[in-house]
Amino acid sequence: MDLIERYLQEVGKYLPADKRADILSEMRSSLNDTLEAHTSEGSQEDAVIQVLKEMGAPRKVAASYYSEGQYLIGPELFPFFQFIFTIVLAASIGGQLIAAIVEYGFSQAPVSIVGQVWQIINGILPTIGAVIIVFAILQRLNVHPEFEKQEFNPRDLPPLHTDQPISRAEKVFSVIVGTLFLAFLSQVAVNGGFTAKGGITPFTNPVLDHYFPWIALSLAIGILLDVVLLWRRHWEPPTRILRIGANIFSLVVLALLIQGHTAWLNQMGVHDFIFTPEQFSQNPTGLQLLVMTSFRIAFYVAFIVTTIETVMMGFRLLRAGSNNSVLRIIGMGSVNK
Amino acid sequence: MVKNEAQTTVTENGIQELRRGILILAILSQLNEAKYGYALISQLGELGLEIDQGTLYPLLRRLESQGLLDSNWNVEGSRPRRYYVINKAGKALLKGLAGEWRSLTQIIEKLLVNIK
Repeated sequence: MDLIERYLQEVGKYLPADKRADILSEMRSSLNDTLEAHTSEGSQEDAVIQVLKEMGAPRKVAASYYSEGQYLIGPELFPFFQFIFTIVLAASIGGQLIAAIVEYGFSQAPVSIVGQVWQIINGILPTIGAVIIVFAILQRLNVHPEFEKQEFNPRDLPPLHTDQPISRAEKVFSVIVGTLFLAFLSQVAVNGGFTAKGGITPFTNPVLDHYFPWIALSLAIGILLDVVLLWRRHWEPPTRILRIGANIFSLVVLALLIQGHTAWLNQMGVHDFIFTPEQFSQNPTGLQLLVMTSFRIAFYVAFIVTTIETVMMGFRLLRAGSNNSVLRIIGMGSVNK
Repeated sequence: MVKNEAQTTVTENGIQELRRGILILAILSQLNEAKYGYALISQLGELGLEIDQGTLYPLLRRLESQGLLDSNWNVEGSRPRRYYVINKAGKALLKGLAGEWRSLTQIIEKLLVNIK
C-alpha cells in the first residue's frame, strides 16, 4: 500500500494543482479496485507492482490529464508568436545596430567591436525573453486566438512565383562579404586610419571617417535585406520596394562620398579625374593621394552599378505591378474578384 | 530487425489513432447508467474492448469538462468512487456519432472488400 501512496505522490507532482486532490482520490480508488480483482499468484507487493506498471509511469499518466498538451507556447498561439517574434527581433537588431553605428560616429575614444557585438546581444536577449514571457502568460491564461474571421477566398492567394529562386550561395557570399567589409571599415574607424605592416605611418581617409556611420548603416541595411531574401527565397514586391529604398539611401551616401573625395582632392591640387605623376611625386602624402583617388573611382563604379540595379529593380516592380501585386500591398484592394 | 521493430511501432501507433476516436463512442454508449471507472473498464473488457486506466480516466475527465458527462462521488460502497453518467448533451453527441459510425462502417467495409 505504501507503494501506491508513493506512486500517487509522484503522479501528483505533475498534475494541475486545482484538480490534483480529486484526480488522486479517483486514482487511489481505481487502483484499489484493480488490486482487489487481481487474481495472479504471488505476494501482495508483486500484485501492486504489476498494477502500477499497467497504470504507467507517473509523469506519463499525469501528462494524459492535460488534454491540450503541455506547452510553453501552444500550437494555436505559436504562429502569432512567430510573427511577433520576427518583427520584434528584427526591430531590436536594427535598433541595436543603429545605436552601435551612431556610437561609433560620435565616440571620441576607440570602440571595441567585440564589446559592441556583446552589447548588441545583451540588448536583444531581454527583448526575446520579454516576448516569450508574454506569450507564455497568454498560454497559461488559456487565451485562444481567433483565426481569420474573413471568409477564405482562394482568388486572394498570392500569384505563383514566376522568377527563379534566389541563389542561396550568392546571398550567403553577399552577406559574408558585406559583414567583412563592415568589420574592416569598423576596424579602420577604431584604429583612426589605415595601418600597414613594416612601420609605414598609418594614413587616414577623412571623408570615410566623416561618413562612417552612414556607410555602416547602408551596409547593415544591405546585409539585413540579404538575410531576409535568404529566408524568403524569392523577390517579392515588399522586398523589391525595400531594396529600392535601401539603394536610394546608398546612392545618397555614395554621392556624398564622391563629393567629399573630390573636394579633398581639389584641395590637394588634383582637379582632374586622376592625378599626374608630378602631383604624386611632389605631394608629401603621395600614397594617401593614390588611395583617395582609388576610393573615388571605386565609389563612382559603385554609384553606377547601384543606379543600374535600382532602375532594373524599379522596372521589375512595375512589371509585377501589372499583375496587381503592388496594388494589393499598398492596400488598394485586390482585383480579379 | 530494426525495420521490423519500426514497422511494429508504426502499426501500433496507427491502431492507437484509430481507437482514439472510437473510445469516445464506446464510453458514451455504456454510460446510460452511472458507473465508476473500474466498472466501466470491466464492462468494456467483457464486451471485447480493452482500455487501460491511464487512458480511461483522463478521457472521462475530458468528456465531463466538455459537458457531455455528469459525475459525482459516491461514498456508500467499500471505498469512495466517482460515478459518471451521460447527460443530455452527451446523448445528442452519442446519437450523432452512432449514425456516423454505422455509415462509416458500411463504407469502410466496401473499401476493404479486397483487403485480406
